[in-house]
Amino acid sequence: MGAIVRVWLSKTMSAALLSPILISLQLAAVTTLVLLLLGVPLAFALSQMSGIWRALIESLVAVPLVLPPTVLGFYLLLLLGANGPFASLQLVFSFPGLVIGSVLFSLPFMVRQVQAAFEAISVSVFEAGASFGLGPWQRFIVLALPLAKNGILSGAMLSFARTLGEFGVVLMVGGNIPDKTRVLSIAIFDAVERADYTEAHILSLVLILFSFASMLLVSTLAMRQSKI
Amino acid sequence: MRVLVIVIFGWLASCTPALDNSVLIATASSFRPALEQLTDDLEQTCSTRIKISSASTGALVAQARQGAPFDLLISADPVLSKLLQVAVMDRPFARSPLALWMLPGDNPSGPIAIANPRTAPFGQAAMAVIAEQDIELVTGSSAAQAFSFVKSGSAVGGYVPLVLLQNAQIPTSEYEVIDPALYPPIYLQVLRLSKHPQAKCLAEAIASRRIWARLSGFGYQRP
Repeated sequence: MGAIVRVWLSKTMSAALLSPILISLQLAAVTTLVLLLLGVPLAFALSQMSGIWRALIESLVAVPLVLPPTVLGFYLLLLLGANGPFASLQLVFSFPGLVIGSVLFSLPFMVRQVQAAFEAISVSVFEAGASFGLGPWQRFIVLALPLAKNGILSGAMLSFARTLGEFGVVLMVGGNIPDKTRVLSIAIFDAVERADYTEAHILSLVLILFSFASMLLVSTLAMRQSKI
Repeated sequence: MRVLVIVIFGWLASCTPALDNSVLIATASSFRPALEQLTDDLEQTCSTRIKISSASTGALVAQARQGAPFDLLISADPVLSKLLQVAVMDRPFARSPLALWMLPGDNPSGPIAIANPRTAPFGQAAMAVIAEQDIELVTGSSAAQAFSFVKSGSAVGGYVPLVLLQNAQIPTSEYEVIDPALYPPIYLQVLRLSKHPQAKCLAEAIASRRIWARLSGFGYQRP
């Protein structure tokens, strides 16, 4: 199936244009998946916490919102690079390294959105669940998740869109390796640097379309949420 | 509809990048157009696929030191090359001249573009030519980016590689080749960074007489 799609797409676009698009989509998909697995439970835990620990963890999670991507990229490069403690894993200039960078970078987008959805659930729902004999894990799976569904989907779309457009962290940790780490945003930068404006236009258009589609989905979900 | 989205998502997430045996060549940005034009020839000569990554020489050396998986590195600065302590083709295979390109127009005022002297040999060359003059400068991260600043009109002129001007077929009336005595020469060398079986073949091919015949047509000089 994948092969059929690839062949069809390659007839309409050359490999040089197709590769960054596919890598970007893959990176965004994998990052979003990881963020769903890590971020949703974290968001739930935060929504049930209070006090100094909540403030500290919330602030830590929010740091990538304001930190320049180059700072995050720089320290990741030192941590994961050839002279760091994880050198043997060869994470820099590789797809897994990009995932790590993107997960850290998009973490607040998932967690804050989902946390807001969990906080919108009335405490009485959980109290009722507890009185029915549901343990904390069961309350999370059976009660909290379905009620926060739209918030989780919004968080996923936001993380997806954010990762698609990421440049600074990806450039520093991933470099610009064709078919491996050359994502859309870097391919555009590369095309402009080579004064190949045709390629830059095409790739930029693709990125704009993807970003717009993601935001459209987020808005639609937000409208549905407010009708509840 | 939801099922379709989940299926597509799952497929995307499960795709693994294809394993292939192509040679990854990291090249100084000024050499990239030449390398792209030589690709078919080189691929046939050494029976292998080539992938190209480019940036300023300084950036590439820094990436290589951090573990970037380059098989070959085409460097425009022998001093930077030494930082990598790897096998180097004995002699540089070409010299890349510097030119000053000024956009046509009456008395334009604006910045002159140069490559970042800290990471790009063409930037250092430009600074040597500019010396003590007080000129408003804008620096690109690489020689290619400096070129694109001028091409897009953001800078009114720039110190750029001659080969990029010839590649873009810029009219000769718009630029002048700088006297080589005014700046440290920019020599291109091939560094082998991996044990890829075809890397040696490609390194030798790039430095061969046959390829040199084509390089001289692009504007390169004998080293």
